[in-house]
Amino acid sequence: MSWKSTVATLCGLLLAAAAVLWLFERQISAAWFRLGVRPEIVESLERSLQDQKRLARLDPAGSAGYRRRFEEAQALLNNLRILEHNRREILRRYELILLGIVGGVLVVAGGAHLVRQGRWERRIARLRDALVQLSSGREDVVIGDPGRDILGRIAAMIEETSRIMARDRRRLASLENLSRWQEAARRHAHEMRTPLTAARLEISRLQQLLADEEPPPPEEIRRAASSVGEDIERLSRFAQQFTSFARLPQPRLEVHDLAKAAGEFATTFGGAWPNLALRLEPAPGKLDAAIDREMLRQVLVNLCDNSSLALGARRGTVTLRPGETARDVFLDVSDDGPGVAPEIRPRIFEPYVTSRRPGEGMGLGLAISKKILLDHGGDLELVESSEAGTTFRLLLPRISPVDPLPKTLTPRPPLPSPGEGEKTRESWGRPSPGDGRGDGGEGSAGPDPENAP
Amino acid sequence: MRGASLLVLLLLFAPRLHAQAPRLEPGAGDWAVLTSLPPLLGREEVRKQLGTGLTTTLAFHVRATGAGRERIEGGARVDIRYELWDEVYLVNRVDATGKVIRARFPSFDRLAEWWREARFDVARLPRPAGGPPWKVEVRLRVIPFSQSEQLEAQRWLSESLAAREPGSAGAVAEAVEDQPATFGQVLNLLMATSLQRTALLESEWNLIFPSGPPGRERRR
Repeated sequence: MSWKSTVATLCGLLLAAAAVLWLFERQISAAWFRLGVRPEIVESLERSLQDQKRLARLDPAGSAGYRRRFEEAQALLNNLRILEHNRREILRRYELILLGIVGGVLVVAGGAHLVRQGRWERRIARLRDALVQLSSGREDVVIGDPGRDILGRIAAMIEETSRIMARDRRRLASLENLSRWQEAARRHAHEMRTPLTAARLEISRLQQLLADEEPPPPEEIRRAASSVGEDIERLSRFAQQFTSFARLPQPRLEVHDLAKAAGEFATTFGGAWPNLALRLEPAPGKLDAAIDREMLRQVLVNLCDNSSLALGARRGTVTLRPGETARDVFLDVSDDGPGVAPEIRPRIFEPYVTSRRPGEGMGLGLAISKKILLDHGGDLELVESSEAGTTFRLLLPRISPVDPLPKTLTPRPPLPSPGEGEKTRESWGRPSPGDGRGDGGEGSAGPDPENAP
Repeated sequence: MRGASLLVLLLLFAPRLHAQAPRLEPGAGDWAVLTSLPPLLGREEVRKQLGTGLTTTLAFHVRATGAGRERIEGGARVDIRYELWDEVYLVNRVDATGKVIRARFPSFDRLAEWWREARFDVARLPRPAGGPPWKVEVRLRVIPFSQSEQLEAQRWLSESLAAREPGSAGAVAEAVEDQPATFGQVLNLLMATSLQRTALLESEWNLIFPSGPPGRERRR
C-alpha cells in the first residue's frame, strides 16, 4: 500500500471521526443534558420546596420530616443548578473525552497500520531478495517468514521451490554422473567382450587339444591351461557386470502402496539372509507411489546384501520403516551393522567406490540402486551412519489423485510371481538372494562389506 | 437622534458594578486596601442567584508588584447564603487580617443596608521605604456556589454517571483516596471534575501604591 493511500485512509478516518463527533454532540450529549436540566424540573422542585414549608407550617408536628424532604429537594435543586451553571464545560468535557477516544483509536489504528505496512514492505523485500537468489541459481533459499497470510504462503512456496530445484539439480547431477559411468562401463564391456570371446574359444580349443594329445601332456601344462580358463571366466563375469550396469532398464511404473510392497518383500525375503532378520514397522497410512516393484525389490536386496556382508558372522536386524512427507513417501532401511566408513560416505553412491579387496566386488550396487530410484523420480539417500548402524532412505514422489502416474512412463502389466521376478533380475546379471548371493558382489552391484550398512 | 441621545444618557448613568474603586489608606504600621462592597444586590441576576439557596462568594484577590518584581499577595472573602427554610440571609466575612464576622439578616432589605455600609479590608501592604511606586491589582470574582456544594454536586454527578446507589463516595473522592481502576472510572472522574466554580462576574482594578489615581476598572 502506498503512502498516498495511507494518507487518504487516515484522512477518511478523521472525517468520519469528526462526523461522529458532531453527531454525538448535536444529537446525544447535548440532548441528554437538555433533558436532565429541563426548566420544568427546576420549577417543580422549587414548588416542592414551598410545599414542604407550607406543610410544616400547617403540621408543626411533622416539621422534622418536612424539613428533611425539603433539604433533599434543595440538594437536588442545587446540584441541578450547578449542573446548569457548568453546562458548557460539561459538554466541552464530553467532546474532549470523545475526541480523545476517537483520536486515540485513530492514532493506534494509524500506528498499527504504519507498523504493519512497514512489516509488509520488509517482508516483500525479503521475498524479492529470495526470488533474486532463486533466479541466480541458489538452492538453499531460506526466507524464514513464519506468517500464515498470503506473504507467508508465498515465502513457503519460494522455499519449497528452492528445495525442489535443489533436489532436481542434485538428481540431475547424479543422473549425469551415473550416465557417464554407464557409458564408460558400456565401452569397457564392449572392448573386453571381443578379445574375451576369442580368448575363451582359444582356451577351449587348447584344452581340447591337450585332452586329445597322446601321450597326455604334463600335468603342469593342463593345470596352467585350466587356470587361464578360470581367469577368462572371471573376466567375463566382470564384463557382464559392466554390461548390466550400462544397460539398466527404465522402470515400468504402477501405483502401489509402498508399505505394502515393503511388507511383501519382508515376507518373501525374510529368510534369504541367514544372519539377518527383517522387521517391518507399521506405516502411517496408505503410501501410494509409482513403483516398479521388481526394481524396488532389487534395491532392497542390494541394501540387505550389504548389511549381511557388513555384519559378517554376527547376526543383525534390518528394519523397514515406511513414512511420508508433504510431497514424498519414503522407506527407511536401517541396520545395526558397523556403519559406513566415514571417508567414503560422501562418495558412497558413486560407481566403483569400494573398500573391498580387489576381486571381491566392484562397488556398483549402491550406484545401481540410486540410479533405479532416480529413474523413479525419487532418490536414495544416506540418512545416517554410525557404529550403531546405518539408515538409507528410499524416497519416492507421492502420487496425487489428479496425476497418478508420470506421463513419460507407462503402466506395466501385473507383477510376475517372485520366481519370475528372480528371472528378470538374472537378466540384469543379478543372482537371487537365495542362491549365490554369498559374496554380494560377484555378478552383482553390491558394494563391499566395509561400505555397506 | 433623540433615541441615540437617550441611549447615551442611560449608559452614562447606568449602575456600575463598583460604585467606588478600592482605595489605599495608611494604618498603624502598614497600608490597608479598603473597599466598599460592590452594588451587586441591585442586579437582577445576583438577586436571583442569592435566592437559590446556594452560597454566593465574593472573592477578592490583591497582588502588589514592586519595581524589582517583588510581590505581595492577599485576599478576603464574603460568603452569602439565603437559608430557604428559615428565610434568612447568612453572611460570613473573612477580611485580610483573618478576622471573621458572621451575620444573619432576616430580610433582603436589612442585608442591602448592611451591604451599603460595609467597608472591607481586602489586603495589607507594608509601609513603603521610598523608591518607585508599586502596582496593585485588585480582583473580584463572584462565585455562584461554595466548594462544599461543588464537591457534593460532583459526587452526585459521578453517582448518576456510574449508576451507583446514592451515598457512595463518588469518583472524585475515590480518585483522591485511590487510583481509579477502570477506564469507566477515569471517564467518570473526568466528567465529575468538569463541574467548576467559574465566576458569574469578575472585576479588576489597578492601583498605584503608595500614591496615585486608581486605574481603569475592567469588568468581565
